[in-house]
Order: sequence, then structure tokens, then C-alpha cells
Amino acid sequence: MKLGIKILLFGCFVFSSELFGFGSADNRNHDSVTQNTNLAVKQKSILQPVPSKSTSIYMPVAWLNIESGSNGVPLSMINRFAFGGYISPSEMNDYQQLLSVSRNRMGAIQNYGINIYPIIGIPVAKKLALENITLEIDDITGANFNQDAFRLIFQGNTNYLGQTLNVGNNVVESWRTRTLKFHFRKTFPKWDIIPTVQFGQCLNYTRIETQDIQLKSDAHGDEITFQGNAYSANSGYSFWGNGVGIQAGLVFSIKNIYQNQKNAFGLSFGIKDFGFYNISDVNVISRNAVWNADQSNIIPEGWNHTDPFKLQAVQISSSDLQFGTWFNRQGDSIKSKLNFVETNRRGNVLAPFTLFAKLNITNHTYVSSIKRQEILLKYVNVIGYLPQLSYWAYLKQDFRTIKGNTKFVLNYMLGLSVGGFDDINFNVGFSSNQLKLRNQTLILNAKFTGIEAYFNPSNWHGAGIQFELLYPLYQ
Amino acid sequence: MLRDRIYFLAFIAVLFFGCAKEQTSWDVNSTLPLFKTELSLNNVDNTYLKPNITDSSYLLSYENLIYRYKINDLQATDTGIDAFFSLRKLKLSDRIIENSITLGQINPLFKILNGQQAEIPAQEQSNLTPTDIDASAFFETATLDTGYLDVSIENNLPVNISLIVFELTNATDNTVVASDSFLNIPKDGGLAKKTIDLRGKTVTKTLKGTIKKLITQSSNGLVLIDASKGITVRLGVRNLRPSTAIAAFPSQNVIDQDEGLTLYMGGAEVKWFKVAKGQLRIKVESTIEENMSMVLSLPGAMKNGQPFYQELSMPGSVGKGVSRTEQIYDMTGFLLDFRGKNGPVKDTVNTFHQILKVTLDSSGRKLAVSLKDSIKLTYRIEGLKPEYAIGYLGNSLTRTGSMTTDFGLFKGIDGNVGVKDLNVSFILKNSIGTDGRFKLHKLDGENVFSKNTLGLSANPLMTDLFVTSPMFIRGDFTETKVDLNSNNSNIKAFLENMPQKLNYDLETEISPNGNVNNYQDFVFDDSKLDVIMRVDAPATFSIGGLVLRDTQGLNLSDLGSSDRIKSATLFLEVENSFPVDFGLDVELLDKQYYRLGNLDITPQNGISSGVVDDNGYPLQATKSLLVIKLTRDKAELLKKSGYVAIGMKIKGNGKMQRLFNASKVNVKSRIQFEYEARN
Repeated sequence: MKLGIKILLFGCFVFSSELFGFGSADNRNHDSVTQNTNLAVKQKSILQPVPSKSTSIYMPVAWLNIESGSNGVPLSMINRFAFGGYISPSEMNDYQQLLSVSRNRMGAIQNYGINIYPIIGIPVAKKLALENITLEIDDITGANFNQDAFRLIFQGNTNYLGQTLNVGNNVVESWRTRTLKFHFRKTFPKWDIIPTVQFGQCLNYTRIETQDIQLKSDAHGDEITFQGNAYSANSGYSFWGNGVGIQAGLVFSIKNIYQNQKNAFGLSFGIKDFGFYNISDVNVISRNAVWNADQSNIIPEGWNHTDPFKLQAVQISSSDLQFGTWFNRQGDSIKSKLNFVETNRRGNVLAPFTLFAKLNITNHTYVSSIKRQEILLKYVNVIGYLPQLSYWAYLKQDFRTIKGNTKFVLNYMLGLSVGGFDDINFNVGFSSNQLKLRNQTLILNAKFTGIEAYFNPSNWHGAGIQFELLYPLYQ
Repeated sequence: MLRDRIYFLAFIAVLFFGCAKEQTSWDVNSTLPLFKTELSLNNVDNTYLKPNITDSSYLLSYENLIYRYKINDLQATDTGIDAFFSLRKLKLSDRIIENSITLGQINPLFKILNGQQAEIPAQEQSNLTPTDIDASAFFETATLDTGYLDVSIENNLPVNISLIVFELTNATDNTVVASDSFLNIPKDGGLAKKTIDLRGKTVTKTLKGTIKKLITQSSNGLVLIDASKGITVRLGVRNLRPSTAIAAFPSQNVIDQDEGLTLYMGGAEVKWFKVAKGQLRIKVESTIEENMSMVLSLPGAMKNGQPFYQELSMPGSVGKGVSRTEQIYDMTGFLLDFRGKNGPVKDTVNTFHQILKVTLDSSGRKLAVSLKDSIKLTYRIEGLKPEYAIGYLGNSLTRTGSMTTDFGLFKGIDGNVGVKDLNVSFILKNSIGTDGRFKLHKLDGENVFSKNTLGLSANPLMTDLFVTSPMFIRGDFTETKVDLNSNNSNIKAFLENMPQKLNYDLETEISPNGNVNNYQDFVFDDSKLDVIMRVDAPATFSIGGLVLRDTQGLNLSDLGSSDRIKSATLFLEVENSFPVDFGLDVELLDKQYYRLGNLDITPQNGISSGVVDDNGYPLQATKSLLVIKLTRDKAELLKKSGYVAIGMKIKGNGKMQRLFNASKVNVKSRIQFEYEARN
């Protein structure tokens, strides 16, 4: 998506909110329940609801976050990779035309989880240092690739007969993990320290890397010249896991670093999910990769140089002209020339971790519809992910129905982000406190990132959704 | 509360166990080169098509083997010797021990009178002092199965002995080994002998000889007293075969054979046998600790002018173990004289002379042996096959009954062919070194496509045909030829029926007149009598709708993930310089040859003919591109197929065409396939 169009869209949203009076002082008559609920929420949610003043501590009990993006691959293709489905050759051809020649990124992070301690309905008398325990599943995929790699992998060489596909250097890494996280919190008068310890199972791990690959097909497909190196490491999926790991996180939260008449500034920063996985029984197929001898690494130490090889029609005599042997003989020839070596290896790999710093700007004047603003700088250590800078504005607006005077309060968010898997995204969200569970308000937060891609998924890229349910686990 | 928890647990289950992501799939369209080849008549076996040097056209010369007779497996049955030797057959050495009892020992008084003249009175003494007899040179101990003790007593006293009772006991336990009486032994060198059977006796190395009773007569007056003279006892043991023993066994032969060994030759009576393949296996198992040596000689087995002769050393067992020695001698190349021992004289058949000698080599050590100890020798001639054999091969009559064979000239060909200047011969090609007889009872030609069968009617084949023996040279043969033509047979109609199968009934007889060659018949390992039909013709045909058919096995089961191939297209670029068009039809058959369907080939008019001059000589090839599309349903059929039937229809113009070796078809192929990739 063109950068100018995105900025224009974002500007339209922000200005329209002011235009329709979302931020006017006339709408400051808050619903007491809503206000109370919102005020009661303590800073735990991923979506960061409005700050609280009461003692109820709202925490996420279940959530789903999907963040996907690319600087070239459109949303519709990434969606197929995220949720499955068939991509037709014509669609694939359209997609490849959107890519840059040399530098493309693509990736997706899907995280969903539940809180398993405290449990709704089982009161916790006293808040402990162990604040909560969550069970989460992460699907993470990231890739750096060029246009020709995309063409070869997703289209084949038939469309490119008579051309050279400079596949070059590419890397794809994919994770599926299940983690049990123990969240602690130590509260000080002016700041909190939030350590996390987590134990994980690696359910699936894949890494594919190519080096200097080039494929030249002559115009009639009579000769194919191939050179380059590659390897693929794949543990395969196992429900019970192919490896285990341990990670930790540490977050510092400074509640008020600065305050003026309108706003209070809070800052949090830290690292999450830093650790490793030890993965065993990884099937590794490689060409010209240099491996250590004890099978204890799943990333090669280097590459050997090889000359290109040509694949030509097998010269056979008339007596060998038997149907069915051509495939096998040519197949054997390809296998022999590619010289792929297959082994089973094990090794430690760094888990995808997150570095972040977040500035919260809370308006405490009750005169602005922008109740809170958030500036987040985040980096996830996944291939294809660039440092991402996000801005979110949390707004609140009262509505009245046309018939009668029923008042409806809308809490919503507008945001803009730059970086990540994508280049720039326009984001929206809302928060609802209309749900009840066990006489308590259940808050639903929803965010939609990169919404411009929802309107034109075949051409624009980068989108995400975030849902979470918050419940007052501590009261 | 409970309901909330159930909801909560259900939510967890759905969230963590029920989320199965659908696979992402897309199509990868790839093109790969497959094969290239050049087809010309040069590829045809020149047995069939021979270049005509004058104009580079071809002559068709085709031979079809109808029947082959070989003498059934002229092979020597495995034959050998199994020998088992127990201790009962081992023997100990024969030995003699001499011991003397002097006059001084008999009576110490004579020591005083030694050298003097004295008169000796008659005396009677009992239980003289025993004398130790050392038999350790024989054995430590032995319990004898058979054996004899020869006791001889020599009287060197100056008086006659009336009676002497001698007893031999084992010193260790005083058991009596032997006891006997000797009467009236004259003085001054008189001798008495007795033989005692030692069967069942146990003898130790330390014996005691005791004169239990000695009665001597008085001297005739004064006699010279010599106290050193007395009675000499000689103990000789012989034929000792122990049941158990700790003894030093002497060197001895355990097997010693020198005789003929007869082999069964399946009815043939063979005088000479050149070995093409075969071996002689010798295996010895021994529980005796002594080494053995073997000598094997086959005086009638010659190779490079030398008879077969082998010596073999076989180590003894260690302790109570078993020593095993196995040796295999390759007999390849040996010419065996099967006339037996002293062949020129005895002149028998199927027998070879062999000399086998196995010797136990004594080390002098005393070894413990018992009847449980054994030496087992196996000697076998195995898998003896002749390179050739000379003798009488026997009279044998073989009738095939109704049989069927392929006729390759028209294999896979259907349509109309007119043949010109045709010469057909029936040939009996014999390389078996004896006379033979052949008779054809029936020969029918069957066209499997038209189902038309036509019998060959040929007067020259109605009677017996006799074949003669070739020279005694490998590969030599005699040929009995019967020419068939339109005058003496219906051969033209027979061949224009284009038979792919021949149904025949014929008989062959070897040595129909018996052993008339006096054991001079021979057979090589490749000797045979072939019945052949030979067709000679210039390669000039009129072709109309001729279809070349072939059915080939197809196995795509080992193509990896072939179920993901959604479609494939096979491109065949063909350059044809033959003067005929070719149409191509590919039919898929399952493993039971049932038709599954046809592959779609475009263009349907197939391969265009090349440009030729008026004589049919190729001037320029014509290019055709055949495209065979394998849609997903066809690909499914392809995977189920066990065979493909390829029909290549030659579209002639009805004229006689000559074929040249410059004509060829070049084929270059590539495959393009759509492969469903999945994430």
C-alpha cells in the first residue's frame, strides 16, 4: 500500500473524530458503571484500557492476537498462510508483481492464551507476588526473501522459461510453541517490577535458508542450470512437543515520570520471552552446508563452494525407451546432482523475544475525548520484523438513541504504526463493558490493525486483530 | 459455580486442543527436461537388418528359434565318503620290557659263593622280592579294549627250573594284570613263553613283577656260581587298543583308501569329463589333541599336465574341544579320467580313481583319550558340471507335445504387409556330439490381433530329418537345412498372416542307433539342437495401416507425493526423416491388462513424414510437436496403470518403400507439471 494513501486515511479518521464532536466537553456525562469499570482497570491488559482508581484489578482471562504483515505480500495471501486455503496461480502471479525485486519481508505472529490462575469464581483473598499464570500458544513465522525466490517457490519455473531466477539468499523461520507463564509483580511506591518465568514446549520448528541460489531455464525447458546452497531444518509437528525450553522476562513500570495539568506520563520498558528451546530429532536436509560433527546444531556453521550443474534431457538408447523409466531416471539424476544430505540433528535455538518501551499519556482533566495516548516502540526477534513504532489514542464518546434517551458509551481507539513486518498501518479498536459474568463486568477489547488492507486485501498488506476479555480477578 | 467451571474447561479444550489449522496450498508449475533419443534402423539388431553396402539400404534377415533341445543337466551327482574313526581304531605301540632277577636276588647266599664252584641243591621259594617294572614308555594308564601281553622267561641259572609262577601287578593298587605258571625251563638259557589276553585290563605305568613260586632242581655236581645271572623276564605288549588311556599314541594311518569312486551321471556313460564347475570339499573334525595330515591324490584328474595332489595339515583339538578343518578345492579345468583305477586296463565308466590317506602325527606327548573321542572325515565332490564330456550319451527320445513360442518378426505388428522376394528356410543346427533325428508333427502360425491361425504345409518337413555330429570343437555345429518356397509349401501365405505365435509339436531323438560310436560321443555345456526358421528378404515393403504395438510395464508408485501432481503435460519434439507418417496412440492398462483409458495426444495426425527423393532416400527431416496432456483424472489413471500399450501406426502410401540407414527419428522430451505445494 502506498504510504501517502495510508497517511491520508489516518488523517481522515483522526480529523473526523474531532469533526463529529467525539472530543467535545458536552459529552462528559459518563455512565457511572462504565466509568467505574474503566477506572477500575489496572494496567495489565495488552490493550491497555483506561486507568483505574478503584481497587478491582482487571486482568485478561482470554485473548487472541494476530499480527501479520509484509512490505510486499498482500493481506489475502498472508491470511491464507495464517488460516489456510488455496491460492490460485493467477492470484499468485498478481502477488509476485507486488514484490520488490530484492528485499521483501513477510511474517505473522499469532498468540492466544488463557489465564489459568486466578480462576474466575475462585476468590483469591490476597494478591500474592505470583500475580497470575497463563497458558499460551504462539505461532510465529518470519521470512526475508526476494521476488525470484517467491516466484520459484510459489510458481515454479514454467512461467520463467528463458530467464534466470536469482533466488539468492533467503531465510524463513517458523515456530509453534506452548508456554506456561508465571507472572510476578513487585510493587513499589513509584514503580513496579514485573518478572516472568515461563516453561515452553516447542511443538514445531522450521528453518529454511538458501544461499546464492540461481536457476536458469532455457526457453524450451531443455536445459536447467542450478547453483547455490540450501538447507531445511524441520522438527515436524508433535502435540507433545519436539523440544522444551525456558524463558524469562523482566518489565519495569514507572507509574508517573512526569505530570502536568492535563496529563500524567507513565513509562514501562523491558524484555519478554527471552530464553531458548532445546529441540531434538530435527530432520535436516542440506546441500553444501558445513555442519559440526556431533549433530548438536541445527544451523550450519558455513557453506561449501560448489559449481553449478546443468540438468539436461537424459540421453537414452532406443532399448531404454521405456515408459515410466524417464521420470525415475531423471529424478535420480536430479537427486544425484542436488546432492542433498539428510540427517537428524538437535540443538538449542534462541526463542523469539520481545523488547519494548511504552509511554502512556493519561489525560486526567475529563475534558478531552482522548483519555489516554500510548507510544510504543517494540521489536520482536523474528526474521523479517523491523522495530515498530506505534501510536494509539484511546477515546470515549457518549451516544443517545433517537428514540428515548438511552445513553450508549463508546470507548474506541485510533492508531498508527510504522515498522514490524509491515511498513505503515492504520489501526482502530473499541472496548466494551456491556458483558456480565457472575455479576461482574467483563470487558471486551478489540483492535484491528492495518485496516486499510481489509478493504483491499489483494493489493494491500499488513493486518492484525487483537481480542481480549478482561475480568476483575482481584477485587 | 460448577457451570462456570465446565464452561471454562470447555473453553480451554477448544482453545488448545481443537485448533487445527487448515493447510495452505498453491500450485507450482515446473518444467523439466526428460529424455532425448535417436531411433533409426541402425538400432535394430543386425541379425534382422543387414546393411546393403551397395546403396545403404537394408536386407532383412531374420531368424526365429522355434525350439531348442539340450541334454538334460549332464551333471555328476554329489558323491563322497563319510568316515568316522573312534578310539577303537587307534592303537598303541607294541613294546617289549626286559627285566632280570639274578641268582643273588633269589638267594643272597649265592652272592657269597659268587665265582666259586659249588653244588646247588634243589630249592623251592615263594614270594620273592617284587621287581619294579617301568612301563611309562607305553602309557600312563590304559584300560584295554584289546591287547596281549607276551611273557617270556629265560633261565640263565645253572640249574633247571621245574616251576615258576609269575605275577604282574599294578604298583599303585596291587591289582593283578597277569599271572601264569611256567614249567620245566632248562638251565643255561632255556626259554618259556606265554601270551596273556589283556582285554578289559587296566595297566598303569608302574608295574611290579613278582615270582610267586620258584622250584629249581639240584645241580649235577659242582657248578660255577655267577650271582649276576638269573632269570630274565621279557614282557611284550602288542595290539593294544585302549578304551581309555593316557598314553603317547604312535603315528598311524586313520584312513587309507586307494580305490575308484563311482558317480551317477543320469544315464550317460562317461569316459572323460572336463570340469567346467565343481569342487572337492574335505572336512575333518577331531577331538584328539594330536595333529593330523592328509594326502589326497587323484591320479586320473589332470590339469596343465599335473595330476591333482594335495597335502593338508590339520591341527589337533585343544583340551576337550573339537578341531575342525575344512578345505575346498576348485576342480574347474580338471580333466577327469572316468575309466576308474588303472583306467586303461579296467576301462569302466563314471568312475574316478582317488587315493586318500589321513595320518595321525604323533607328538610323543601322553594324551588322554577315550572311546568318546573321534575323528570324523567328510570328503565330497560337489556340483560337478562338465565343460564337456566324452562317452556314450544314451539314447533319448523327446516329443514336445503341443507347445507355443513367440515369433518375433511380426511382434506387435498388425495391418497389411506385402512381402517380396522371400526366402524361408527350416534349419536344424546341431552342436551335440552325436547323431540325431528330428520330426515336425505340426506348425501353426497365429496372428493374435486377427485371431487367424494358419498351419504350415510343407512336404520337405513331413518326413524324418537326420542330423549329424559336429567336430569335437566348442561352438562347432552341423546344419541341416530345408528350403521352403511357394512350390513346396504355403510359406508365403503363412508369413503374410503375420503370425506372432507359433504352435508346434515336434520330436527329437539323440543317438537313435545306440552306442554306434563306441563311447566317442561328446557334449559341451552349451551343446544344443536348435530348430530355427530363417527369413531372408530385401527390406522393401508395401505398408498400409501397419501398426507397431508394444506393451510396457509402468510403475509410478515410487514417485514421491505423486498424489499432489494435479496435471502434467509431456511434450515430445520429434524430427522424422522416414518416408512415412506415424500416428501415436497410448492406452493405459491396469495390472490385469484391462483398459483404463487413452492419453490425449495432439495433434491427432501424429508425426509427419520426412522429405525423401524418388528412391526414398531422406533429404530433410520434418519437425512435429506432440503434446500429451495428463489432466488430474488422467494422472490418476496413470498411477493406477500397470502397463501402457503404445500403438504406432505407420501410414504408408501403398507403394513399395526401401529403407535407408540415414532415416531416423529424433525425439526430445520435456515435462511440465502442476504440483500442489502445501504449507
